[in-house]
Order: sequence, then structure tokens, then C-alpha cells
Amino acid sequence: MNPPVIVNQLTKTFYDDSRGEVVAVNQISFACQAGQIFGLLGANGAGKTTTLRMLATILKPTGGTATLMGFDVSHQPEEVRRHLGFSSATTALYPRLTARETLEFFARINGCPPATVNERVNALISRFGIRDYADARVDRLSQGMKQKVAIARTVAHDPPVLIFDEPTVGLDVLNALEMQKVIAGFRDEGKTILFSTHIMSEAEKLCDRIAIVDQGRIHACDTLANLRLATGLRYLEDIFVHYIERARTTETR
Amino acid sequence: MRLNLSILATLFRTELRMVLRDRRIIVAAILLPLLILPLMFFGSNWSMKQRERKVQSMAGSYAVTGSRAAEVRELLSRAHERALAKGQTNGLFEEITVTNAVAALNAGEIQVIVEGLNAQEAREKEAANKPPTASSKAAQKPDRSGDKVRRDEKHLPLVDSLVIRLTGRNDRDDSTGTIARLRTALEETRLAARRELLKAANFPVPLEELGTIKQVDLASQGQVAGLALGRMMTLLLLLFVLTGGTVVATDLLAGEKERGTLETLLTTGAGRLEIVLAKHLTVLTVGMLIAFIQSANLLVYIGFKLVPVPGSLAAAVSPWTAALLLALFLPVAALAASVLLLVSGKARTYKEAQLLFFPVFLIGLAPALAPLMPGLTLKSAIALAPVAGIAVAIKEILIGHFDWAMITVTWFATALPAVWLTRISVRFLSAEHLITAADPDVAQLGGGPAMFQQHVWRWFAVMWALLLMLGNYLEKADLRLQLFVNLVGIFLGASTLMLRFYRLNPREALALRLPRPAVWLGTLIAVPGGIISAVGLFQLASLVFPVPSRLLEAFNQSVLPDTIPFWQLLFFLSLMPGVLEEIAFRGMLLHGLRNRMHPALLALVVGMVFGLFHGTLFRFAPTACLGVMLAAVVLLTGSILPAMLWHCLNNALGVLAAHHEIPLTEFDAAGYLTGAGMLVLGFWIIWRHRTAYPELRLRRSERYGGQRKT
Amino acid sequence: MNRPVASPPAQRESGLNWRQVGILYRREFRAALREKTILFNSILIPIFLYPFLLWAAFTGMMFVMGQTETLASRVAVGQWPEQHPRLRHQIERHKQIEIARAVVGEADASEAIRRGELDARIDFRHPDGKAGEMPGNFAASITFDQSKDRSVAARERIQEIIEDYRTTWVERETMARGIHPARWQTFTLDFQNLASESEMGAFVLGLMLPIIFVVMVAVGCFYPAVDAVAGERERGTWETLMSTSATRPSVVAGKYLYVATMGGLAGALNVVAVLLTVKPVFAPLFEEAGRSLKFSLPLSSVPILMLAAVLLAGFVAAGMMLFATFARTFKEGQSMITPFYMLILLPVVFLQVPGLKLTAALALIPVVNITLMLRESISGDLQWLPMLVTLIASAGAILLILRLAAFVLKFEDVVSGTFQGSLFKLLRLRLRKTSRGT
Repeated sequence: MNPPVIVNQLTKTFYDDSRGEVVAVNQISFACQAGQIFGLLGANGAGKTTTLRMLATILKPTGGTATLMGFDVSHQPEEVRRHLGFSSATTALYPRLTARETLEFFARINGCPPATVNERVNALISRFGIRDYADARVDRLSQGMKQKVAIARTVAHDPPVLIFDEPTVGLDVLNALEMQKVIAGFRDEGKTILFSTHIMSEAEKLCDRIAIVDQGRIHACDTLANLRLATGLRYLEDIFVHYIERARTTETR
Repeated sequence: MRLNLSILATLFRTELRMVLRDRRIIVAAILLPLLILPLMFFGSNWSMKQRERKVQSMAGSYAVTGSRAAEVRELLSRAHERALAKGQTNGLFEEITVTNAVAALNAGEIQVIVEGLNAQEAREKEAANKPPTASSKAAQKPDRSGDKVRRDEKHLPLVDSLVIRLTGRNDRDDSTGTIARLRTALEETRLAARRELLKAANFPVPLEELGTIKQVDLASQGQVAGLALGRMMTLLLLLFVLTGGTVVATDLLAGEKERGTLETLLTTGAGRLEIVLAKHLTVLTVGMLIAFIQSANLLVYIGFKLVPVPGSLAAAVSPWTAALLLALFLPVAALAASVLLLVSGKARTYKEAQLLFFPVFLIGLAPALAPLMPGLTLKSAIALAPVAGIAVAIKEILIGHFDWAMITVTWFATALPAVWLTRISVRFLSAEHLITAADPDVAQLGGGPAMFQQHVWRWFAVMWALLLMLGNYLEKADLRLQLFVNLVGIFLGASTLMLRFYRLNPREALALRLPRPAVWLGTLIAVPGGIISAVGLFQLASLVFPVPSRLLEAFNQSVLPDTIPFWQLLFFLSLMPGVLEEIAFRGMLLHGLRNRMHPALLALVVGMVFGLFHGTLFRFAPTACLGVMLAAVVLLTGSILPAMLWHCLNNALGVLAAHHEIPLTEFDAAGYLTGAGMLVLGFWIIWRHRTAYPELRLRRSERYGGQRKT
Repeated sequence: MNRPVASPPAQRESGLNWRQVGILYRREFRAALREKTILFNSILIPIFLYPFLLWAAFTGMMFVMGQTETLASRVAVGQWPEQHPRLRHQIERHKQIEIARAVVGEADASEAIRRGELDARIDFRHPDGKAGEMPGNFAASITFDQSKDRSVAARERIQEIIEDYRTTWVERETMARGIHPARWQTFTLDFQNLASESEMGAFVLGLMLPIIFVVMVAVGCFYPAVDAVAGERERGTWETLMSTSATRPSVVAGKYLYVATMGGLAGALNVVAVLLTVKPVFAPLFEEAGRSLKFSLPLSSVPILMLAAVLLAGFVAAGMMLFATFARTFKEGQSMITPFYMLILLPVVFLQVPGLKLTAALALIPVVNITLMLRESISGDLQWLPMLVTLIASAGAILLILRLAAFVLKFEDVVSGTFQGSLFKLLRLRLRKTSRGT
């Protein structure tokens, strides 16, 4: 069986009035397996978000291909999105819908059969413990409650692939830990998970495979154990710096 | 893109639900207009009634002067008696004896001076060209009296007849009101006197039956009401849809971007087309809903007679007509919704959207004014103009004379742009720099040339206003001074400032490059062709859509003062504008906008701005036409020099023609054909030897690619 | 869930520190000049909008008027009056009348008029009965369609020609019957206007300028008021500001002065812009009437104008700030201020009444009094007493609002921006609390 997510030579170039062409993502290739968490690790502006946005079909690639569950992101964007749950710090919830309405809306719009929508929404509500405030408007919920609703809406249509773009940014320690637990839970259900972060401990703890991204390129992509072996370093932080410095020095030469 | 109807329905339902839940939207879009409108109507109605009542009942007082004062008093007392006999009690006037009538008038003690004069006296006073009663105030200032003596009757007073001169102050409502009432009273008195005269002379027929004029009106009451309603209906409805729609549209795209929910939506199974369509339908629904509510609101006020409508409204609008009007208005509302969504989609934040909406309002309402144009029927080019055509059709339906074929044409003429604009909105949702949150603009950090592109509009707006204001003060100055100030002071001055301020390279900004030699030849051939073709174009247009003759005359309009030598005229009217106006418009403006739009649109915009700088409406069309051609030449050759030559020659030909009094407004068919041929030939030569203007935006794909990563 | 309740007044802070106010004011002002929205709404619109709108409106009007004039009236004539060849001549030679000879029958003509192919039909006949006893007497009837502009214009043209002709004809007939022309004429009327060009200009300005002024001060205050509090909260700079050593009253005073300055500036700039552009804008209108007006403000009204700007801006800014304090986002701020904004603009509608004088009673109503004071100062007949009342009333209104603002700002959650709701909600909560307490 083919891996659920295959990225091949994916490239994104922007045109900017004052700077001309800017290459944000430069021929990135990788693949993710079902039941695994694939982590993109990089500094701000390294190209992680752009890559994930291309996979979510928000942005169109300017080169290369990517497939998700066998669907091409450029040519079958609707199919891709139907098999995908995407969550990031910038994907907000509608403030004027109730939690239940939110879940209902996202289940329907992602193609859940109408007959099963109710059942699915109820299942989500009990699974994520939203029952108490399921009928309150989202704008009246606290940060932690909103986060639960946001996760629930990401998986409202039970997608096989999940993308989390820096999901713990702006969360406190407890909420962040909760988030990590939920993500790990999804992996155990057999979902394919793409995950980006710039927090080393998070990557260390969660990811089955780690890709180190800088300036639009992947400089290393392997399991944590293999990365340690290859560099001889213990901490992910050091491994990360090692790769990035190596890449930058070769470039300047 | 296939349309998934069930997704569309889900989206639409949710959008509508959210809109209806936002109290602010409800208040701003529905409740406020609902309250404001009646208050406005009530207010203006009240003050109008007050005005009428005040003018009617204002006690007027006057002083009688002049050599024939006695006769005037006699006439006025008869008028007074007549009024009393009719039972009129208020709105009367009385004589007050004053020593200095003018001083009393200025002090407001009296409202009018009634002067009884001999015709001879009246003429002498007029000949002195100084009011006989010049106030001391006016004498001190070098300030002429506002009005010369104005005579109302068509015939000159006979030698020994009585002239009654009513002197008042037009800057006071009480004075103008009293004059109006005195006049009516005097005229009635005269009519009565004439009747007496006829009777005394044994005239066979009374005055009223001499040469009667009867009016037979073919229009029904409903049709008259229809006209009154039809003129304003589209404008009002569009205003309602726009005010309500704006609030909703801002929230639906710009608001979603700001809240970050748009990105959430874009990662779901819904396609961009479905998302935009659902939003469009929501704006349309809310807009139509508001139009309905407001119309009902308006009807209530018409019912209470707060809004005057002549004739009977019920006769004008049958249920069937109402349904037809609704069907006609639908594409207008759809177009409005598309435009609003487009603008909202273009903006990245709520605030930015509001800024963008402002011009949309001003421009959007203009075509709805079309039914105010007299004699404009749907059987003309107007049927092809979106909104304007529908507005005219609505008027014609309300009057009751219309043509199904033209109505169908105009329906599509508005509906198709609505569809097209909605498609563009869909594209905006794929435009990367518009979806995601705003990034710092590098141009803002560095200043310089990139900043110039963002500021170029401001500069030209200021220049336009300066031109308008200075024109005010230089109106009576020498033509040469006017031209010098405008061309050197404003155009050259601002251009130099822009060059220095943004550190631009003059050679690049002004496109100072040599074109290929053949271009010169092409320009020489195209100039006369351009003049003739432009005239021909407007003659041709006037066949379909009546163009006022003043527009065509404007092609030939150059008032040349005789006092200026011919060589100076050539210098000031041909060489200077040719060089300096090119520097400003085809130099700075074109350079600033070069990669903001497609070259074809660019030429059009530069030409229009050029036309706008020429003040009056009738000069706009010919100058804009020239401006477009000049911009096209610069874009094709990458050089401003041929445009300068063209502009100089074009103006020189105009000056020459005016000097020898050759009209340039009409040619025969052969002339037009030759002209068009020359223009085409000239442009063909230029095209063959083109060296395109650098850095143009040619491909559409690049247009939406201005995003940097986040 | 935390339901916010108006918390008790915070402990008394030290009062105004004018140095701090100055620093804060300067910062606000500098930031405003760099903010597109504020620059656009407070500076650019006042300068450009009215000149441009007026220009566009009058150019459009001229265009429509020109259109009506250039359209020839297509007129069918039933039968010319035999004894009046000159009338026929006048109608036929009229530049804007085209005689349609193809349409003959009366029914045809009516149908053509209804279809819009013909504008009017004239029928001349010899009147019956007693009126017919006089040779040469005629009766004309004009058939037209009131629901068509062109037809109405045609009727007006024809009627004018016939009426003119009738006057001359009647005069000739009376002369023939021995009535002296001077007696027949009785008198002729002349009209003369004593007001000078600049006085007429001041009259027109007085009608227009105060209204535009009020609108512009309100527009000028609007965005700065929203931005000063809600904008800061949205951007997250509010807390930064609150954590500085500046006292709360200083912060508020700095912001208030800044908002008022922007409003006053917008009003003043607009007056200047209108004065500069009113002539070219109005020129086409008055050219037609053969009149020229001088638009200049009387020098004596300049200090009044400045005073009005200060008072009005002070009032509007205070009111808007009071409402905007409760907003946490820009959008919220806008919708909270809008009702107040509308309320200010409302008097404008009622000010078109002629001869409305600034009386002591009217001088008690805010906004209205300043508008009227401005109008009277421009037309040069301002009375001292109502002006004094205006000053006191406006100052009083400003103080009242500022007092209310000071009261509102005693609530900590309002200042910090955690209070959810508007001014009314706060007052309601607070009032309920006090009534329960007593």
C-alpha cells in the first residue's frame, strides 16, 4: 500500500512587488505512514506553514506534486480536503455559532452523510467532554473550551489524515499537554498525522519521524534515534543546530 | 468546478444564521436605516412645511418712495382691499413711513422698498449703472450690488408709463418672500384693472376668453406617479441594498479573514465556488430583505403623506408590476452583492474593507441616476449599460410603455457582469496574499521607488484639487499666466517633487529613451488620424446614444485671445503642454501605475485621469480619448518622446485650425475613413517597431502572487 | 464562565499631570497621521469629498439641463390659425421645435405621443359661443403626456410661445379699440437686489457651511475616537499604556484632546476647502443666471468659527469617547458610536427652515446652537446674548459628559477593557446596584 501522504519535489515561489521572486519552499520531498506522527521542525519562516498549507490546498504549489490518500493536491483539492483535518493557530472558530452547530456544520460541509451527522456530533461531544457547553455560543467559551471544540471540529468528518500546524502556540502548559495527548491518541487510532513545531521537546516526545526544515529545504528526515546516530548528539536541539549550521555554511561557500 | 448543492445549502444556512445572530449587523444594517429614513423624511418635510408657512404668514412691511409714489400707494391699497375681500387675514403687508428707506431695509425694519418711477427716470437710473439707492455699506467696499435691475415683463415700459421697482435683499428670506407676495398682489390688481378697461371699451369678449390655451394630458394619474417613482426607485433600492449589504459583506469576507475563520473554511470539503456563492446568496438575501423592509417603510410614509408622490401610487404599481420590478431589480442587487463581496475579498481586514467601500458607494450609485436623464429610452445604447439600463427599464415599466425585447437585453446586461464578478471573487479566494493575514510591507520600510507606487494616487489627487482651486483665482488672469502656473507650477513642480522625494531615476520614471526611428514616422501619420477618428467615434456614438452637441464642439474648443501673438500661442498651447503634461501623466502617473494593472487598463486609466484634469464634463471625453492614445504610444514604444511629439502636434493642429477658423467637428465619410486609416497605419507602424515599456504586468497569474511566506 | 459585574470604584488615583498629557497627546497625534484610516477619514475626506461631490453633482445637473435643452420637441399641428400667420411663423421657426408633418389625425397623434414618438400636438380652432363673436380670436389645445419628460418640455415651450403671442395680440386689439397702451400696461415691474455680491455669497455660505461643518467635525472625530480606545485594545497596546507611569486621567485627557483636535481640524480644513472650491464648483450654476457671487468669509466670523470648532469638537469628542470606551474591538467601537453620530447629524435636517434665528431657547440645545451661531456669524447678524448662552450651554454640556466619563472610568473593569457591554449596560447594572443597596 502507498503511504497516505506523499510529497515529491514540492516548491512554492512567491512574487513580491519589492523583493521580486521569493522561494519559500524549495523542492521538498517526504512521505508519511499511517499510524505515525511526522514532524516538521524549523524556525519561524522556515517554510513549514507554507508546506502544510499547500498540502491543505489553501496555497497552490508552483512546482512538484503531493498526494493525500492518493488524491493530487493541485487537481483534486476538494477530494483532498474531504480526507483531511487541518488545524492551526490561525484557523479560528465561528464566534456566533454554538459548539454543537459548529460540529454539525463542519461534519456536513466535509461530506458526512446527512443521516449520520447527528450521531457523529453526539459522539464527538461526549468524546471531547463538551457536553456541558455544547449549546453555548463559541464566543462565550474560555480558551480551553474553545480548544476542545477546535479539535473536535478538525475531526468532525473522521478524516484519515490530520495536519496540525504549531497546535500548541499560545496554549498554557496544561492545555499544551492535553493537546499532545489528544494528538497521540489520534495516532493510536491509526490516523496519519503531520505536525509542525519549533518546540524541540514536543517534537522529541511526539514525532515518529522528524524533518528538519530551514530556508525552504529539508536538511534531514529520519527517526529521532537515527538522527542521534548520524550526528552523535544526544539532544534534538543540538541535532537541529548541527544540521542548520552545516547547511548554511555549505550555502555560503 | 462542480457545484455541490447540499454543501452550498449548508453554507448558506450557516452564513445566514450567523448574520442574523450578530446584533451589530442587525442594528447597523436594518434598525438604523429604518429609524433614520423616516426621521430624515419627517425632518425635511417638516422644515419644508415650516418654510411654506413662514413665507406665507410673514408680515411684510414696505416703504413707498419715488416720484410717482401716490399712484403706487393707490394700487397697493386696491390690492390690499382685494385680499381682505377674499378673506385673507395673514400674509398681508403694511406701509411704514421711514426717512431713509435704504437704511431701514438694511436694518431689517422694512422688507421691501416700493419705488414708483417714470419710465424715463427708471431708464436713466439704469444707465448710470449704479443702484439709485446704493447703500453706504456697498459704497465703501469695491463691491457691486448683487443684481442689476431685473425686469420681468417682455415689453419695455412705454414713455410715460409707471414703473414700479421692488427693491429688496435677496439674502433675507423675509425680503424675498414679501417681494413675491407683493408681486402677485400687484399683478392681480393689474389684471382686474385690465378687465375693467375692456368692459369700459365695450370689448366683445372678456379677457379670459381671448386666445385660450387648454392642456390635454394623455397620461393617467398612475403614469404620472410612475414617473415620479420610476426616477428614484432604482436609486433608493440600490442605496438600501448597498448600505445593508456592505455591513454583511464586510463581515463575510474581510471579517472572516480577520477572525481567521476563512482559513478554517478553506480547509474543509467545500469548494471555493460554493463558499463564494453561499456568501453571495447571503449578501443578496440580506440586501433584498432590507430593500423590502425599507420599501414597506417608505410606503407607510407615502401613505401618511410624509413623502409626496403626485397622482395615485396604487394605480402605478399593481401586484403584477411589482413582481416584474422585483425580477428586474434582482440582477441589480446581485451585481451589488458581487461588487461588495469583491471589495470585501480584496481587503485583508475589516478596516481596510471599509476604506475600500467608500468609492464603491459613490461610483455604484451613479448609474442609477440614468432615469433622471430626459428623453433617454431603453431603445438605445443605455440598455447595454449595467444598472443604468435596468433603472431606465424600471421607469418605463412604471410609466407603462415598455419593450420586452429591450428589457430582456438589459436584464442580461446586468446579470452577466454579476456572474463574472462573482467568478473573480472566487479567484480572490485563491489569491494567496489576500487570504492570509497581512505581513509587514517591505516598501513601507525602505521608502523610495516602491513607496512611490503606493503614493502616486495621492499625489495626483492633490494636484487635481490644486488645479481646481487655483483655477478659481486665476480665472480672470492672462491665459499665459494661467498656463504657466498650471503647467510649470503644478505639473512640472509636482513631478520634480515626486522624483526627488522617492529618489526615482528620471530616465526610467519619465521613460526618456529613444524609440526606433520608424516610430517617429508612425506618430506623424497617426496625429491627424487621431483627431479625425476621435470626432468620428463620437459622431458614431451619437447615432446610438444622443451626444449633446456641446460635446462635439468641445473637440474644437480653444478660445484664442487675439491679443497674444501667434507664435506665443503655439508655445503656450502646444509646446508647453506637449512636454509638461506628458511628463506628469505619461511620465510619473504611468510609471507609478505600470505594474498595478494590465497594460490595456493602464492606458485607459491614465487617459481618464488626464481627461479628469481638464475640468468640465464636455472637455473630458476628447481629452481622455487623446490621453488613452498617448498612453498607448508610450506603452508600446517604452518612450515618452513620441507621445510628446504627438501631443505637441495635436495641440498645434488645434491652434492652427482655430487661428484660421477651420472647424474640426465634422468631416464627410471619406474624411473619417482617411482619418481612421491614418490612425491605424500610424499605430501599425508603431506596433511593428515596438519596444515595450519595462516592468509591465502582463500575465494574470502574477497579479495574485504578491504574498510572502508567514 | 465569568460574568463580569461592574466592580466597585478603584482607589483614587492622582489627578492630571499636564506634562504627561502633552507627551501622550503628541504620541497619539503622530500615530494618527501615520494611520491610513484616520488620515483618510479625518483629513482627506474633509478636504476632497465635498468639493468633489459638489463638483460631480453640479456637473451632472448641468449635463441633464443641457440635454433637455438640446432635445428638439417633435410637435404635430392640427390646423394653423388662419388669421395668425405670425404665430405659425414663430412656432415653425423656433430652434427647438420640429414640426412633424407625417402625423395628421388626432387619434394617430395621441397614439404617437403615448409611444414617445411625438412630444405634443397643438390644435387651433375658432372658439364657439360668445367668445367666437370676435374675429381672430383663437383657442389652442395642447395634447401631451405628463409622464414623459420630453413631452412636458415640449408643452412648456409651446405654451410660452403662444402666451407671448397672445399678450402682444391682445395689446394690439385693445389699441385698435381705442384703449391707450399706457393705461393697458398700467405699470411694469422692476426688481432690484440691494444685497451685494459678497453678501449674497455669505448668504449661500451661511446655508451650506454650518451643516457641512457639523458633519465634518463628526466624521473627523469618529475614527480617532474609535481608534483611541478600541483600536488600542485590539492591537494590544492598551495594557502597555496602562502599565506606564502616566495616571489614568492623564491618559484619558491626552486621548480626549487628540480626538477633539482631529475633529476640529477636520471641520476647519473642510471650511477652507469649501471656501477655496465653492466658486469653480458653483460657477456653472450662477453663470446661467448671469450672476456672480463672491464667496468669502467675513473677517469677523473667523474667531467665531474657531470658537465653534473648539466647542463642537469638544462636545462631539467627549460624547464619542464616552461611548467608545466600552469597545474592545474596532468594529464594536464603530457600532457603539454610530447612534451618537446619527444623533448629532439629525439637527442638520431640521435646520433648513428659513429665518430660523438663534434665540436664547435654541441656544440651549447642543450642536443646534453652534450651527446657528455659525450661520449668523457668517451672514453678519449675530446677537450677543444667544451667543453667550450658546457658549455656556456648550461648555456645560461638555463638562457634563466629561463628568460622566470620569464616573465611568472609576470602574476598573471598564478601564481594563474586561467589562462586556455598552454604556447603557453599565449604567443599568450600576443603578440596580445602588437601588438594591439603599
